[in-house]
Amino acid sequence: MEYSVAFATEVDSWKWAKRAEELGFSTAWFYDTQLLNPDVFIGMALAAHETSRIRLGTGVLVPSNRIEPVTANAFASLNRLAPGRIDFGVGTGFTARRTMGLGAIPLKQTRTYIERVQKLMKGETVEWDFEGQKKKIPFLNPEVGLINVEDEIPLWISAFGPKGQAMTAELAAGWLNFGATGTGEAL
Amino acid sequence: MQAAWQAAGQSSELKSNLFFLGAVLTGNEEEDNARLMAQAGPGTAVIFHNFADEMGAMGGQAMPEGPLSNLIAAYLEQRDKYQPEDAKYLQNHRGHLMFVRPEETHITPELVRATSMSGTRAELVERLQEVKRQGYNQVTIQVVHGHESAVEEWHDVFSAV
Repeated sequence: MEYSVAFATEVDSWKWAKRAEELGFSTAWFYDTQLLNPDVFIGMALAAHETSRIRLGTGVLVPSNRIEPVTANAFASLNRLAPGRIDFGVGTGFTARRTMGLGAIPLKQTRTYIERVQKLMKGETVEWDFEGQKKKIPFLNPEVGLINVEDEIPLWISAFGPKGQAMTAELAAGWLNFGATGTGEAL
Repeated sequence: MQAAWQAAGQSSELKSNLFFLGAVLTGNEEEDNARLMAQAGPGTAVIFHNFADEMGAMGGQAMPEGPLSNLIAAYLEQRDKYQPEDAKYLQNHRGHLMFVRPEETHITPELVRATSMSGTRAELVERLQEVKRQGYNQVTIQVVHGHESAVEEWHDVFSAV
């Protein structure tokens, strides 16, 4: 069983990610909670620059807060900094949306978002609807090497209910569970 | 989750990762209470924040029965005092997974210990061995702002599982 650490993202989180790497931790996960902590991708970028082995993941990203190409760009940029060490952890916006007085995102919307981000991160073209229009969008020049669309970025989903877990399974994603009780029943 | 995995026809092994807050305890009550409140208490507080969100201002009418019902009712009363009136969610989530707010007096070391991954090194090794037997292939300690050095103690625990 691998062991990992999660941080309430700070600009200094990289120092502890580096120490966790030295200690043999598998992954450093970073919260995406925009009204509570510094930006998740800034924290991860610093960690990517300062570490060499430990995996780095969003734990978990909130779909509604960034449009798909922006999210895919952030991951592909991280993947350039830390090739093959990046994890795409995502949920329906549990805390980050609640801090804005909003509920979770519908699963169908979450799934569409995930699938678009995944395709973009692989250098593929997606059908993207935005501002009432449908547009085809890919990264335009990934071959230049400024971003990394070659190394896989595994998907992890935080899913509490049966429908979310079914989506996790259908997308063949890793599953993120939270809590110290009822762990066996949940799995 | 395993049932969903099988229902989807996945032939590969499910990757599962259990996140939790917790504290490695020493046996010194004063020190342990401080650790519980600082390192694991914010996770326990979230239980109440979530109930408050889901039940709303009139949440007491939908109160679930159970061992925490009285504490939840007390927190809902506290939450109703939060300002501004039209944005009580702001104070409800302030400090999320970072600290226990001063007014959250219902969060006690005993409650935190019962709702988090906390215990002595030996107790935690035993609990995590059970988590491993359940089939999780990754566990993640959620460290709290200002207490990140706990990774040293958790490394010691994890290494013994």
